[in-house]
Amino acid sequence: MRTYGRGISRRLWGQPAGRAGLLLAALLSLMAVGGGALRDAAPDRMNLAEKLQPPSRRHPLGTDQFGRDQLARILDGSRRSVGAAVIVMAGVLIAGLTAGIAAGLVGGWGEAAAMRGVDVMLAIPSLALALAISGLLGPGYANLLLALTLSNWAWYARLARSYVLLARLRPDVIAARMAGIGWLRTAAGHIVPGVAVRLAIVATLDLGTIIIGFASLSFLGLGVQPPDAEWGAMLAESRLYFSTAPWLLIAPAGAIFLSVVAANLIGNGLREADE
Amino acid sequence: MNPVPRILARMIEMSVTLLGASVLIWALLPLAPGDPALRTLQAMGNDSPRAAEVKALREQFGLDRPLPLQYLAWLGRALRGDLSHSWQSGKPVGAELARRLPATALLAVVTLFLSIALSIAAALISAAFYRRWPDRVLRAFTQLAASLPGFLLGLLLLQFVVLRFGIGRIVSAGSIEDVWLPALCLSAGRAAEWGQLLRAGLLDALQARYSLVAAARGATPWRILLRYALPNAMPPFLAAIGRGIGLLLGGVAVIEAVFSWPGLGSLAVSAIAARDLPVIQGYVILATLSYVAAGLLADLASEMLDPRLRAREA
Amino acid sequence: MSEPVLKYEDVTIAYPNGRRAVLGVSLEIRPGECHALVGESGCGKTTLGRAALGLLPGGTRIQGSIRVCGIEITRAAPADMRRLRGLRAGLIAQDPFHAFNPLARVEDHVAEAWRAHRMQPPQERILAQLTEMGIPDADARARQYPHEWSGGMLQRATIAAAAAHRPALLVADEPTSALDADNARGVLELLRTRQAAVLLISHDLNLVARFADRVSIMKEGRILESGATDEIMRRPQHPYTRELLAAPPRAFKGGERDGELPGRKEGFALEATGVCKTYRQRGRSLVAVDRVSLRARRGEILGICGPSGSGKSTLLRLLAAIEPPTGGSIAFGGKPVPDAGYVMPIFQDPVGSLDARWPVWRTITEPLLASHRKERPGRAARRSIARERLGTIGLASIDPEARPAELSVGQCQRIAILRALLAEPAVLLADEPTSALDALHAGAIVRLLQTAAAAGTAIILVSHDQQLLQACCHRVLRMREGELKE
Repeated sequence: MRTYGRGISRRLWGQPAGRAGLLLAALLSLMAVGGGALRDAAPDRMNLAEKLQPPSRRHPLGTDQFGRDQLARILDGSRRSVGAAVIVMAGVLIAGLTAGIAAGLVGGWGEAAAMRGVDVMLAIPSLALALAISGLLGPGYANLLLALTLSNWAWYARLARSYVLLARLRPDVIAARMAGIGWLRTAAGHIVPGVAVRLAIVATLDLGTIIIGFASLSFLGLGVQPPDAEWGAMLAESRLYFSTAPWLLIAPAGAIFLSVVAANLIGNGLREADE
Repeated sequence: MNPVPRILARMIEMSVTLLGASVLIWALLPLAPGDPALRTLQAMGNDSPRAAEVKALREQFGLDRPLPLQYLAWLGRALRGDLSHSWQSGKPVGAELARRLPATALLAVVTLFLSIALSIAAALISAAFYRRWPDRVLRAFTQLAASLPGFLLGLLLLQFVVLRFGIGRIVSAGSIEDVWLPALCLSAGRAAEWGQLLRAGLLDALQARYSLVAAARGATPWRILLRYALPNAMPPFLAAIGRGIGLLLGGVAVIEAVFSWPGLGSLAVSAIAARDLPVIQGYVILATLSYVAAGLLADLASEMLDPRLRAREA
Repeated sequence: MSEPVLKYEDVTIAYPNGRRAVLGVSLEIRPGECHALVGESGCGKTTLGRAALGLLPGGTRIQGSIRVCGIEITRAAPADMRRLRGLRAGLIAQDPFHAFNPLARVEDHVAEAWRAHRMQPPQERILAQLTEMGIPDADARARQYPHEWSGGMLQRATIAAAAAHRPALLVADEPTSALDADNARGVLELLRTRQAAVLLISHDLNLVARFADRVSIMKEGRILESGATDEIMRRPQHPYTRELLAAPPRAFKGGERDGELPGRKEGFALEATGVCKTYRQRGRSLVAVDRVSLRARRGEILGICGPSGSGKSTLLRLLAAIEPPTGGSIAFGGKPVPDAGYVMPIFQDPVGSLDARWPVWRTITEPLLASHRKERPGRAARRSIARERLGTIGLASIDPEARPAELSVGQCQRIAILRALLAEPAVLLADEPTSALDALHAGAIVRLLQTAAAAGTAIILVSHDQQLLQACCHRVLRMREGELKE
């Protein structure tokens, strides 16, 4: 398992597109983790005397309608935007994997009931479900993360279960069972590692969609609340000033775009590396 | 092989799923903070209703009864088309939805046709010129489109096309003249995704032995592509379109907000801002119904195409 | 002498990735002649055959000259090539199930021979040809879809389609590999009646020898020797040809076949009495196994032979206690349910039967971790056990840390058998254990099974290969339509 994962990452690094994606993702993560230290200008400090200034040496990405430094806000926002993608992906993966593997291994009535529940969740389009949950919980960063996780995990549960069912028919699993290896040991040794890797690859392919979903809902004002900085929310806040200050559009849009590009490059690369 | 019982069985299964979904959607109401009766009275213009008035309405809504009964009553009303009143405007939710539906339906239909046409054209060209320049250009373009969220494309188009060159309008009336820009924004990502899927399916089918056999019998490359590869690549493509139609209704919210498109999405967004749960419920119900129906249609279309799928069911 | 239909002159073929599949091959086939091209998979025989029809992927480099019916393939215009294909030269592909477009009817597949060349397909001739090919009730069956036909019938329809325009040359690439022995013979006989010259590509020298006029033996892109079939069969010059001829399992015929079996007194390791298995499918019941009785003694190799769909696989699942029978009973050493490890399986797909992520040592010693064992060895102990066991079957050179992907198919199968033996089973169920292997590796597997039997394990060997069973089993039972006969 360990070496299998290492083989895939080595192959991913071997592709030009995969390598570009990894480097881009590393850059974005660096921004998210160390962004605050890179730019000491406080992201929330208003200075109406310097409002809507175009990019300059003092403000490389210009200032917004409150005179806040745009670069500082982009860097500060990366923590929440990139963090959201990682948290939601981890959330759906853990929830889906747990539910799917449990259902696939238990079988019988428990499985049937669980899968009916998953079908029901899947019957509601995920973005509409996310909107509804946001409407219920009210706007807020944590609430939006919860809404996105709740509206996306079911699909992973179903996928994990189908992988488990396929794996149970594999010759190596049958041989292990016939030799008298217990179910738990068989699952831990033969089934779960493969299913987890498969699912993680699918989740990475979906990461771009998750980032887009988060940015969209955030743009609708369902996520981070002012004055906190976040890319989608920044776009919504400065919408009225785009015509006079286009840099307020370009910078957050570019940041969102680049993070989706990074996710897609890595996802596609992983899929190819896995084949 | 009689297709009718099969469709019937599928529809029964679908109804069971929808019934489950209805519980989830209904549960939004009791889970929500605030008293529905109070909110309704306030929405109707009664800012400080008396306790007796609230109590009367609570009884009328059946809010004093046990939850399962409340659900059944809600379901009964919903099945008759009564989705109660908006907490914002005080108007019936059904009427509000009906007023906004045409604009969204127009947007969805144009988007759908645009996405299907673009993705099929791109996939056919890509597969026919595999690894030559048309394929490379299209793939680069596809990757770009797949990575650009629709609402960003919308903001950029508004900023750099509408404002600079005066093409289109910023505030739209939901008419056919204004539909192209928002439809384009919604189509870009979808066409990219479906195009990639169809291209992969076409390439798989071109690698299949039946394509080699067809070539060995003198069929031209285009004939192999259109008569062998395209039908065989269709089922997953149709399934993706089926999912896409349904997801469209969830996804229009953002684009409608960008283009001020007077459709269901805008309604939902304003309802969420006001935590107007009856309207949100109505929106989710519509989205779910269209999603499930589109999925069923796509399944049936795939079955018509593939005799093996028909046989498995029989 | 007439002009050759197909003539290769010093042909070298390199794929776009630089791999050279064919190296300096010269060969010619005269009208009406059947020339067999024999070699193991990857020897370049398929590449050579496809090159004759100009069907290699774009970017493939061909040096030398290939002439079909006087047309130089290496320089022909695409339009000329399309006229050649289908009209003057046809292809019969391996595995008929994949040669048909699954979405079109069989008659469309045959009619495509005309439509591809913008001709009106003659409906009556299509049906007449199918009937001539031995398709019963051709009129109705032609309107069915490929998945409703059997492999043998599909391959006959392929021949009808490929020979529609009476081509001078047919390239048949492993035309019988997906068929059982009876069907294979029928298809090859039909092929010979088509009056075309045939380039017959196969890995099975013994099968091909009966139908070909001339044979060429191919290995690693080169032709080792070439000549009249009788000549090659009787006096093979090249050591590799002799290997191919000698490889069939005849060579390992056991001497003790009729003698006293070891451990006869211990009773039966496996005893099935009147076992039935019926599946319910939408109201209809489907009898897969019908009142089968069999007994396997310790140390006995029991062969079960039968065509695909005869219920062999279902019977194996019952004997493995993976599924319960719907009728009758199975006794595993006197018990209704086998102890853990009492019955162990060996599968058809050797690579798939090992966990792709696990190193060899982990797979081999997995049975030692069974929950009924009191002492489970640690990692270091398992590594040394695995190394020692690998040594006993002559695989000492294999790194115990290797993964299945780094090993050959034959090595994987031997490791799978080692794993099974470590469970100390009383019964081994082997389902087509050699069908994915070439003759040399198959021999090693058979020897390994014979050693296990000599040590007292009962082995039930299921195969469609009658020769193999005759050669190494003490008894062979035939299975047909769910019933078992001696």
